[in-house]
Amino acid sequence: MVKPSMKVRIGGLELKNPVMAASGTFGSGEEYKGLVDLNGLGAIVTKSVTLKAREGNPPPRMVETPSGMLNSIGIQNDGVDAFIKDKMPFLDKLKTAVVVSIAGHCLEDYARLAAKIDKVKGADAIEINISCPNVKGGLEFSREPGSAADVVRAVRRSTRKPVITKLSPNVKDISEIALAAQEAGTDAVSLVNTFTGMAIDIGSRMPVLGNIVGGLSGPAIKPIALRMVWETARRVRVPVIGMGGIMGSDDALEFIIAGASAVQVGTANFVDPSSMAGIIRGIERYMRDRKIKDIKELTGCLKT
Amino acid sequence: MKQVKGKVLSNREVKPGYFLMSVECPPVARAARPGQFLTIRCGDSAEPLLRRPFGFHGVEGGSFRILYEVLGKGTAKLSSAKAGDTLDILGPLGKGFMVPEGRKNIVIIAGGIGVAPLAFLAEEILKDKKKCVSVIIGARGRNSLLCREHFEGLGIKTLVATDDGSCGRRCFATDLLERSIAGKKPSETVVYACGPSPMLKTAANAAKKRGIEAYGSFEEYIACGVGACLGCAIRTKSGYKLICKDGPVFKLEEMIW
Repeated sequence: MVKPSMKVRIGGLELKNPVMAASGTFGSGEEYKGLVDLNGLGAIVTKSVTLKAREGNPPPRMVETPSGMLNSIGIQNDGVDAFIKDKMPFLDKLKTAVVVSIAGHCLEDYARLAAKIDKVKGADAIEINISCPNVKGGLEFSREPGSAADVVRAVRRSTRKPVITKLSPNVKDISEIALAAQEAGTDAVSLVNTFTGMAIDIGSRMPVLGNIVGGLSGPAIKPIALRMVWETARRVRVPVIGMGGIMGSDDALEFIIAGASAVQVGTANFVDPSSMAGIIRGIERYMRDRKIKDIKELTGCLKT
Repeated sequence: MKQVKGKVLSNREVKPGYFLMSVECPPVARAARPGQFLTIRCGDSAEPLLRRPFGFHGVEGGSFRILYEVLGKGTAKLSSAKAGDTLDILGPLGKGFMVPEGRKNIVIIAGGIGVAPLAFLAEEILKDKKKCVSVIIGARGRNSLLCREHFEGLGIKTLVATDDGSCGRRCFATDLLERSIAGKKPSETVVYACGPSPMLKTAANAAKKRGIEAYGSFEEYIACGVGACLGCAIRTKSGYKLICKDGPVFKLEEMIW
């Protein structure tokens, strides 16, 4: 049988397969050089960049919880200019799609970041992070449909590159936010970012994280993330990129069947750097076994 | 840095709750330097989820040893591994100990399980016959005192401090450190420390007071181990550094406590 087609399209962005490294879990790819076949990935979404450098949140920034982990990194980064100068040359040489994640404090930040990334060779698309739970105001733009749409419009006006909007699950109805982002011109939505959570040391009676609260990821959130992807994919026309606790190809397939055109893998990269390669192989095997020629046949094929 | 399979050669309890494990894993063992670490996936399910970090305790040809304390779900699972079992290994990670030029007096101070990476360091330093190594081990008591015989077997003068006085002197390891470095020439001496944070801080102050260079190995929860997630940040005078990539060994005078 011929090799099944794993290609997917996210707006104007074509990916060789639907498996992307999630922002914040994969640095700028270079950290995993020699450990992961970077060119075999569908895409790399880089750690969010901000206009100015951010030193991040006080430690401890990370703690394991049952079947998951909490993080409160606080978007530590050297700023967009340093990112373009120091990280992009490596990414530009890769034969995989590069999606640059941007995060801002106000609409103007997002517009300026998008305008800068628009000019960068090797940056194939932009992911708008309006859903970081770990910085002051990080969630505000994703809480209401109107403010989410404002950010998308500001970015849309500043770039011709494909735009993906990453949504927070810490909202009343995530599909409403997705619809608003779609009307404002996003090419795709990615969901979900982490759920806000916390852990307490009962000995010291202090929060475990320096930031008190953090974002929960990993297998613990998968069923909720899957439900949100399903609810959203039914309502929007734009492609949905699903994520939340994907550890193996069975998890990825669940998201695709629920309606995701592509998936992002985050926490699994920490557990096993070879996870994404295994997920890509596993999806391909599933397709071969069932004689499915094109991955697009699987997206949203849930029988209800 | 590689992600490879390793084969457990042995895994035995050396003191109640403390295990010594030997793993055959040539690509990692051959590249390992004292102070560097590796991560092991303890099991293959979501519980425990993240890989667990361990400092290299020693290397012999194509195998390495780790010495660990059973503290949680990960180490509990690891303690049940049997000879012949396969482990998922990522390493060597981080930067190891620096041995500055011209230092002939090497003072090593360990607290609790912090002794694990320092045994490897002592062995490496002793390859240079001109160096004089002395070791101070602090432990809660006799049952948690580790590696004393190991150091003495290498011909190293080893002082012991216990909290309960069941072995050595009843004092803090850092009390012995103060005395041990008192008469030493700062330009010829270097201190290496690994242990609980209060011990590292006291050791840092003792060394600083006498103008002696000191290095410590630090611990934090580790997620990626390769500098990607920025989860293991630690405060230093030049901003946040990553334990997994910039450390785990840092110059003690650089730290903000």
